[in-house]
Amino acid sequence: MYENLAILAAFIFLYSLVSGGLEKTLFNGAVVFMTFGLILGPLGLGALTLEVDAELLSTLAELALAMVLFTDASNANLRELKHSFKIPQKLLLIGLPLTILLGFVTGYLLFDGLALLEIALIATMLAPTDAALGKAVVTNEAVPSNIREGLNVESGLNDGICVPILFIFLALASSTGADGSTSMLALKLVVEAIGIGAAIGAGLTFLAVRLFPHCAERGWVTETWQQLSVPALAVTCFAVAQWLGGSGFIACFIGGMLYGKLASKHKHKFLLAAEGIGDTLALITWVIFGTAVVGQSLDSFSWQVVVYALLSLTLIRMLPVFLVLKGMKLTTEEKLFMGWFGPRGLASIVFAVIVLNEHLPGGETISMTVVFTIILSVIGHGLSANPLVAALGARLKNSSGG
Amino acid sequence: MYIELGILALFIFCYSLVAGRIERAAASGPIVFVISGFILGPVVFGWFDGSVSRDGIKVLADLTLALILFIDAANVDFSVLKKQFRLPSRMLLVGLPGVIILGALTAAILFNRLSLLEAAILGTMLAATDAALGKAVVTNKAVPNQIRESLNLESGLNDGLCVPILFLFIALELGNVEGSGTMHALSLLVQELGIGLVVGVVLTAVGTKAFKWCQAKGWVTEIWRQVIVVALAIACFSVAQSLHGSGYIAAFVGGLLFGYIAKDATHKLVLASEGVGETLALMTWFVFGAGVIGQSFQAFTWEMLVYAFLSLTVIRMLPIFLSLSGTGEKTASKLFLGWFGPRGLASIVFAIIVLNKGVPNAKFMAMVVVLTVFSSLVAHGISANSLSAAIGARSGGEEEKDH
Repeated sequence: MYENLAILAAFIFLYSLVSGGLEKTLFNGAVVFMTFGLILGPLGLGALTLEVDAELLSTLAELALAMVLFTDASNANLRELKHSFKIPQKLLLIGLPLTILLGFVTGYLLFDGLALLEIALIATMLAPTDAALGKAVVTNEAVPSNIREGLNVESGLNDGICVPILFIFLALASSTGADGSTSMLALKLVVEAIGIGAAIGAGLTFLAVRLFPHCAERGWVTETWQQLSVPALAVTCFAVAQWLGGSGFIACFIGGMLYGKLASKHKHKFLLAAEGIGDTLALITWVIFGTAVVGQSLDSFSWQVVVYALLSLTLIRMLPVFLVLKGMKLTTEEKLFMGWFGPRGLASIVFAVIVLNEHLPGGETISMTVVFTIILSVIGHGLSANPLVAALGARLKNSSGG
Repeated sequence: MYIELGILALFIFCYSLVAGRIERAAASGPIVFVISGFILGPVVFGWFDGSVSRDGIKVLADLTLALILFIDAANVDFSVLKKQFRLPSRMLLVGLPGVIILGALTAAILFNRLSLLEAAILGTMLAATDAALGKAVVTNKAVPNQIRESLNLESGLNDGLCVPILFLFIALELGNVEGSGTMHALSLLVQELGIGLVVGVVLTAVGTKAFKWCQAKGWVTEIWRQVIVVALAIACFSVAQSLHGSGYIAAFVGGLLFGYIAKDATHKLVLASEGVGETLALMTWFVFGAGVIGQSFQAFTWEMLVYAFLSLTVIRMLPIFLSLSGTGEKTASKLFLGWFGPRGLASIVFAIIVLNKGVPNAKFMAMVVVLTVFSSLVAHGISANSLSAAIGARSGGEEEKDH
């Protein structure tokens, strides 16, 4: 118990010291955390022994995603976008469904043993992109600002949009009887979960944003405690929605969007603590992923998994993105660039944990595919971020100069 | 699971909105959380499951105390300590041993079942005061500055000083019980304290140095800056624990060193971690109210009640009063300093340590601690504002007379 805690705390301390330095190198946070978990885990030195299926750890991963959904959604302030909302709009409304569809078709051709709904699950789990992993690209001034904003808004919102889709497929896949009544019942439950989640998220956040200035004016808020109001609000949205049978992720996503819209003035200051907590939880989740999940899956993958993972990162995402961006006055390089930089991360991991808990017949293959794609993405996107950004920057300079 | 999480988070959110108001009112934060925990817990509404609480409270309380020891020690302002050395040094060097001895003697007389060493353990557990609970007094501008600083320094340091004393008594008691000999027990104790000390000093020295270096290079981001102190404190604690040293000593020593090295720069860093520390503390109080208080009511006896009463009054007030004789302080100030030694988190964690070490009669002593802490929460919470106002009026009046 204390050994694990000691290793984690020391690692978090060290990372917090060099976080800014690492962002400029080839290694993004996820590569570092995952490698760290892999090296210290049972496959490597065996110093860290964390068990994934323990309730506490899956709760941790869920909370990490909840916090990240909330802060990402509040940070994606749509009104303050310098450029038009058109690029992210197209990416989300047309690109995302196309990506899921293409992922489904590819999975159908590759995997024989899986049910159709299970293939749809894989496609949905791997559609959301991770804002934190794309940070190296999104914060790099060499990339044109419309591309950065587009990627940032897209990755901040697509995980939230994928949650209800995932739940629909999951509910349908779990109701194995496949006769009409159970499917209808499952769908009804999903609609209920989404509805409750949205209502809780919107209701709680609305009340909170109204209450806060009221209390602040009267001098009831202290410096220490003011940091905690947003993290506490995010966890409240999540846990209350889950408790009432709704989807906590939807609640956090909706709550975050509403918070970003209503509290735009001093948003940054209040969100800082929530981002710190969310990032720390995400770090721990990645370490767990490296320790427990990667090791277990490595010895059991097939060539289909490898091919799917490669296609998922390339064709399955890049083709829809490329097509969708037609007519947006972007060069071919820029369109390819945006298609490539859709790293898969935390959302896909947490989705894998959720799907694993349902004990579907194809559960192992599903999680293996997701895990392998995430590993490939973490390495591929991590290594390519800086060189590709530099290449794009140089090319744009040349074309504008000539 | 989600119910507990939802209730706790909702509570913390609501509290974060009104924290400033509550700190000014008669009820302190801890008492609000203990009572809410009690009401929502298995005894009244049953929304908060007791089984989760019992497992959770050990880890939670452990980490909370480690973080609080570190933060409180880091907040000790050495320049103030030099200026205001007189009162706190007397309270810590003369008053604290007096409180422990008097507490042990009273326990030995009142409770026949306790051996002398067990009585000493009980006396030590209840000698540490809680800085967070004294906040209403320490931050109250009406109270003369010198008294506030003294109370702040005392409560920030005495829990750390009590740790080795507590461990000494536990080691002696276990040496007696298990028959492994006093010397063996003592060598284990020295080893435990030594490892804790070394880990705390080394990790903090290296960590602070590394931080300054990375800070100068601009490698520390705004988001991760908030995490640094929390991670360092927990690293000190858990590294020492996993090397079979005392994590509390490591956290305490580490905090002192951190405050000493980093000086002005610390305040901002520590501020961010205080939010985490306070949240953990209040969560511990909530779980304490839900999981411990309710189930303990049947076990309380009138002897315990008498001891709790004496512990808050004579056992602390008399030694503190005597330790301050000859300082020229007014009787009212001395009594005030004696009264405001609220017992809190440190005593609870000490009780958990004693339970885990397998000291005979540990359960009985834990009950005494629980009752004393609960009485202190109520009595100090209610009296904080009125007594602060009273002493403020008194000293203010006299200052005016002087002019």
